[in-house]
Amino acid sequence: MNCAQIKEQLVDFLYGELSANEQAAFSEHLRGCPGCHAEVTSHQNTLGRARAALSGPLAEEPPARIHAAALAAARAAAAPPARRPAIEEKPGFFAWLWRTPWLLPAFGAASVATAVFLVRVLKNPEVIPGQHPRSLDERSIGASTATPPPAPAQEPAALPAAPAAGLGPAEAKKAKTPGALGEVAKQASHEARRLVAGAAGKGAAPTVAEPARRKSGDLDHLIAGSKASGTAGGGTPSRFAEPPPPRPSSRTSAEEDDLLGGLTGEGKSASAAAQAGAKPAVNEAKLAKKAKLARDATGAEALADESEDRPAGRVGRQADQALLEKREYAAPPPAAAPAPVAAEPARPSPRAVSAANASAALGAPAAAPAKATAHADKARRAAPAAEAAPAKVADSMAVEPRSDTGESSKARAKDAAGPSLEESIRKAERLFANQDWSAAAAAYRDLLRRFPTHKDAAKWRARVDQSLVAEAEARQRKDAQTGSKAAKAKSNDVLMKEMK
Amino acid sequence: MTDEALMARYQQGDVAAFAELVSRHEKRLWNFVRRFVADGPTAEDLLQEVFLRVVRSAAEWRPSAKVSTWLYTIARNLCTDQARRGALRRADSLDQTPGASRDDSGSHRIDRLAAPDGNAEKATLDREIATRVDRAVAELPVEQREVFLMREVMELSFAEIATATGASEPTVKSRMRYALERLRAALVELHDHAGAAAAEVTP
Repeated sequence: MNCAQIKEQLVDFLYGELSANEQAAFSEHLRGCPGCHAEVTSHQNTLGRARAALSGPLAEEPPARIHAAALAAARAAAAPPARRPAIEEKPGFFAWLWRTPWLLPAFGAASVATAVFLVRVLKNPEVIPGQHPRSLDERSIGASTATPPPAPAQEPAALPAAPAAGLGPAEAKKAKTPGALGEVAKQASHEARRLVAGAAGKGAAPTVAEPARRKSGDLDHLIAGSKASGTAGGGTPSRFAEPPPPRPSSRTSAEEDDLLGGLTGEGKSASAAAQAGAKPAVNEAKLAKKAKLARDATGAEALADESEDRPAGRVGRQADQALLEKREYAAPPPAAAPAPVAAEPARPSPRAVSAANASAALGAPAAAPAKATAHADKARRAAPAAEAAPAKVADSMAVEPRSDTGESSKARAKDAAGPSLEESIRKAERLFANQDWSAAAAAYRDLLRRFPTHKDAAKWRARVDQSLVAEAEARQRKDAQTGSKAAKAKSNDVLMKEMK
Repeated sequence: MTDEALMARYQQGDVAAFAELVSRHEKRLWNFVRRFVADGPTAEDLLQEVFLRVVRSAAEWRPSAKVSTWLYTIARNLCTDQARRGALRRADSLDQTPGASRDDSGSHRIDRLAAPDGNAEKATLDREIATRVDRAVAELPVEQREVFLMREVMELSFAEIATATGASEPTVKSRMRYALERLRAALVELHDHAGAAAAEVTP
């Protein structure tokens, strides 16, 4: 290393950026070169003094006024960022409103109008187009508890099972005509046992259950309605699927019966028969009868095989939905079928029930609605019998849904990969892109209701809000042109309401 | 919490996070700006402008960018712009004694700042060194001054300085060496004076 190289590497040496080898060579040269040694030493001294000066006498505290000015600027600038996400964050809007004092009187007027509007909404849900009065509730519930709206489906469905558990098959038998039905029931129970074996609960069969889910929102309402009438005294929020207490009151039974069998002639007769005996058992009888129909109509075993990879609880959930859906939407099953009394003490485990339910879902495509109903019902018939058997089906019917709620909802979100979901998303996005705000909001709301735990749920929720805000703004613009104060108040109402 | 986390929070509207960032960096920024432009009121305006720019462009900041480098680059750009404008003004009046006014104000400031301690001689020497460092830095060419101050005041690495200035790292190191040469020259004289004074005292 020569003196020129020492100059080259001076800075690296002073700041310790030489490699070990370079460092050694550098030092080596300094030992043999007094000139370089003196120069490097004087640089070290200079640097030391400069540092001492810069951190000592020359170091100054910044003027306090600059700190204050910087913070004032930051505070002022923080306002727009808070305002921009106002679409997604509630506080932003109110903060903005608060900073815009001249709007406060208008806000006050709008609040009054909101109250009026809300009263109207409560009286007549159609005031908000495309929005069911419950859907807001559901949205928020889905967000906060991750409990899917369809959850209540389990409880009403379980109701017949639980009371019947105590009364047992004998009651059902008593309620119904004997005869060849015994054979039918036996077959049904055999069926159920096979299903136990089949539905070992492994994976998922999304497409199959899709029809069940499609109407789940509507089912919610149906179920909610049935609960309201059937279990009015319960006082337990159905959403969380408390195990329903046995409630063999004639009212409950009749109501349930209306729900379950209302669409079929036999339902009525079964109901009537049941009135004479143990009330809950009536459902069982009717269900058993439908089970017969189901077995006749479809290869239950094949279906069970298909449903093999579904976790039982999930399957049961969907089957319940299918059941209710079919009841709601399907034509009545053929009236000719005999009514097998479900008395055969099958040994349906929770899985058996679920599997049977799954087969209901599997058989549910619109072509054979009665089939689906019957399958699910068969499972239900099996449920009470289980009380005698080791497996506590009644429990499973009532309790499983509760413990399974999270999984089921997850499963539903996962299953949402079906074409229907994608189609719905595409539709919603198209509407959103076309700035068809109210339709877009409705579409996203629908998605949220059906797939509350989908990974994009937050985005959908934001889209709903954005659409509503955009709609309100568009309306305001329009109102500003027309000068319609009433319309403005209304759009504010919608905005404020949705912001909550 | 890291600078970057604070910045992210400020992007969400958390002004307290911004206040913390200012507190962390304002002293170094101030000393950088103050040494760079050597004029108190101008330095104050520049530092304020640094923070205003940070506020204005906070939305564009991405977490991948190191906040300190970002801050100091803003400060450096403002300072070099200002220094070039100042250089143009100075070129108009070359006959004036360069740094004369700075000399006065600088000396007075350092007189005020120097801590009065028992060793009056040492205090005097420190003051003298500070004055000379101050002046020497102020008289460095802009490219050398910025490199020197970014390294010694802002404590950036040569690589970071290269990024901030758009020069290569060897170039940055080369400028640093020239800056150190000038500083040494400014202090050698003092060294000699101090040595001469000491020599006078000793015999």
